[in-house]
Amino acid sequence: MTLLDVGGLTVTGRHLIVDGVDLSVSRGETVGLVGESGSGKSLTARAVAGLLPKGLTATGSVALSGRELLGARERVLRSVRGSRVALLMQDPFAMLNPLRTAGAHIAESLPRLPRAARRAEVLRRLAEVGIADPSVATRHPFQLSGGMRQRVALAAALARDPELLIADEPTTALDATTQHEILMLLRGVQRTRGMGVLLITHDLRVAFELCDRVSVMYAGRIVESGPGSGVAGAPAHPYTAGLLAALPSVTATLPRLEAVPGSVPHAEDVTDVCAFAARCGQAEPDCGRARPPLREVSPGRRTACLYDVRPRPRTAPPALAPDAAPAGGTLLRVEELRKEYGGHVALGGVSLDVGAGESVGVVGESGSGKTTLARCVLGLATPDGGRIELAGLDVTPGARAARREGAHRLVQCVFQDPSTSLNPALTVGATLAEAAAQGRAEGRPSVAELLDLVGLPAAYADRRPRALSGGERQRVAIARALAVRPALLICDEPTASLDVSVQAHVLELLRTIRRELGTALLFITHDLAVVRQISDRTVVLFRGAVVESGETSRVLDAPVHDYTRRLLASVPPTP
Amino acid sequence: MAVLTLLGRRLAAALVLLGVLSALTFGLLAASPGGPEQVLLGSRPSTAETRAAIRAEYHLDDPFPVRYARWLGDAVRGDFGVSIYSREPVADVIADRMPVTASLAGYALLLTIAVGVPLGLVAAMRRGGALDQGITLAALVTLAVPPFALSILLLYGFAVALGWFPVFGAGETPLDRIVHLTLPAVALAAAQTAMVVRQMRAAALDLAGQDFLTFARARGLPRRRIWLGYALRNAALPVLTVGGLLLAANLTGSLFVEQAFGLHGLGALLIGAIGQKDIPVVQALVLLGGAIVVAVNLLIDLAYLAVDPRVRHGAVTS
Repeated sequence: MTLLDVGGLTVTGRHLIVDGVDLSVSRGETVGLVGESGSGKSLTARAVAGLLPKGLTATGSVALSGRELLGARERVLRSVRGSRVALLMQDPFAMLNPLRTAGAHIAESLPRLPRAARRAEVLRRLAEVGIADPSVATRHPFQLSGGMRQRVALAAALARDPELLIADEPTTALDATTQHEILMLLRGVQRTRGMGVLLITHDLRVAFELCDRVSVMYAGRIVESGPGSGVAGAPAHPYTAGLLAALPSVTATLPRLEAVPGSVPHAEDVTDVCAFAARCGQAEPDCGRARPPLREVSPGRRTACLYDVRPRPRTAPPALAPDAAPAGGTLLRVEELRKEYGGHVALGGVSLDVGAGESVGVVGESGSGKTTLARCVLGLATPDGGRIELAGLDVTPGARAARREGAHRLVQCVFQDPSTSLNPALTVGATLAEAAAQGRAEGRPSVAELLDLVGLPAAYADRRPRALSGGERQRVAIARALAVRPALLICDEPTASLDVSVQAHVLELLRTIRRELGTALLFITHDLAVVRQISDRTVVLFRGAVVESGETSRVLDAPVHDYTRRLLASVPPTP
Repeated sequence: MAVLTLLGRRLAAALVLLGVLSALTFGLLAASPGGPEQVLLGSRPSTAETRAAIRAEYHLDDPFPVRYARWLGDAVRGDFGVSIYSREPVADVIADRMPVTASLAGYALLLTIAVGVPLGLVAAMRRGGALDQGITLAALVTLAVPPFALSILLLYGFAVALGWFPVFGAGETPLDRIVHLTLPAVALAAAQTAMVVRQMRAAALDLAGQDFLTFARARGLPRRRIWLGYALRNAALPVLTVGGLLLAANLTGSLFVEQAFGLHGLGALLIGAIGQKDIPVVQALVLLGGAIVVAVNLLIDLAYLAVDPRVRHGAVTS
């Protein structure tokens, strides 16, 4: 029986954002809505819950068990929210009221109960989401880890026993292992309760692992839908095929990462054509003439492509032998590095080497000390003990013998979020020129050369970061780091905030740079598939200590340490 | 434990601050033109004997640190010396004036919070609408009008032309006092209300985009709970700080308004004392002002401890 029926849902703000989405969820079914940022998937979820941000309006139809919710009065919606439809949001750090305890969040969502019964009920609800420790109820959100917060939020969302749970990227902000736990919890709760779940995610692997049916969204519309396994095995839309091809694999180093060229158009600009035609490798003149309808290819499978998808030549990629590390001697040597933050051990004696021109991956979850390591090498944090040697120079910050001047020409960094790491007030050209001026005068690269290096047109020099897409911004950040021709480039989760198709592009760029300029990479990430693609050697950090290191293929194919195995087990299978 | 450390640190800082302030204040007398004995004599004829008598009475021949220590010892016990003008103990003079200023400050703060917080919330709720623009514009205009000008306008409009309120004085009975203090309190509160409105509006707008508000709505919580338990409580933190600072400002800086309404409060006393070069009174007032600011800040810290569990557990410092 259909629980949720969305028909022709359109969301408009200043522009058209969601353009005619059809969707249905039955009882006991998990439906995935997959798309990259800007596809309109989150706003679709908000529209279903009647919680669109101010200034946006929805038209079409959202029916819950036959009852129309769109345009219903706020009072009606309030009686539906929580008790029939619940919404779980992305960021567990922002979703709970910082001033209330975990227990209070659950208690206030429960139906009226006498005091003692309410307390028992709160504990029962916590147990349902896998929190056995009753003291958690009296703790405040800031005293809980991200995974715990997400569990508490789930318990609060489920407090009134809704029939439909909308989960909007519920694991994106979490570590790989926690991510896996929460997904499994979600699946368990869904099965025991027989609930309908609408899972919004950008991660194809998560969607395929968890969902009975999957709908792929692009530029505000659904381009393909069908059973999870069917879509994963044989995508019926070129966009889905492109996304799948861009997924890095954790089991093999691909010779080339296929990115989808171009960027996502505004829904408004492509209402009457195929939204993907401009980026599609097999576009025909028809594609630009009319909007392709969602046609049924087989029972339960629909695609908004006029043609059959040409199979990609992606059969069994020849596992690339990792580039032999150039024998150039040791570039970075870190010895017994220790750093504490008020009693918390961030680094407990970490040693590692990076050879000239070599690419070393540092893997670990948040709190493992990987960012502290990068900050120490960059001279942004002063270690409590240990030694950092760069090209034979002692550059340990704070050490008496340290010679930091000139170190910035040896090591540079690309940070995680390019929307905050670039100065919004400076044009791209000014940013790059400023960075280049820090290098030696002879052989100083020009702005045009730097842009060319990262594959951006020279005209971008006049733009400001605001006018660039996320991937383009990260490429500018890479160009900025390369402006002084460093021997070592530290990349701190450089693709974590990027979409899959863009991630492929940036990874490919970093591989090219390393090959052509001979820049060594220290690549920090929590994503094992990414580290497989980019690094020769991998170091696994766990609670501030190196628990395993070696050739990337050895570490990932035959892990020795328990923690590495746990990390590997939490990666959803690549379709 | 974290609470005690925090309080201990704040108390220590307050003491240091008061110490510095008292030294500077005491220095006022020593550095005054004509020397301290001239100031202490005031306008009385000065002969060699009177000067010598004063030097002896005030121990002016002792070294500065000794004099300071003696003065501080007296001050701590509430003895600030004798007013040069009225020849009464300074502590009595201040105690006499305190109630008027305190009730005026309290009244004004009450008005500020009672009007400012709801208006700010409403403005944020109706962001961009006519009501929001009206409130924002009114706040800007009020902020631009100086309190003394507003005092005169209010006096003319409500006391002289309409005759609703008395023109002068502070009243005797409690009810009488409220009536008498209404216009001054409004004059004092107007600009501060405007500040609180803007602060509250910004805090609430900041809040409106927060996930936890959306999540609360998504769970179908009643509107009252969302507004009180979520919006107001979280927005209260920045407003608390501003409110405390305003209270301190009211207690120490209501001189224009007191002057305009002929109220015999601390502000009027300060103006008089400066005019008469009544240094002991000025010293006591300056020290009192400093102590009030320090005390109010301590109170704000305590309030933060009560409202925000993160401060209580030492996760963040306010």
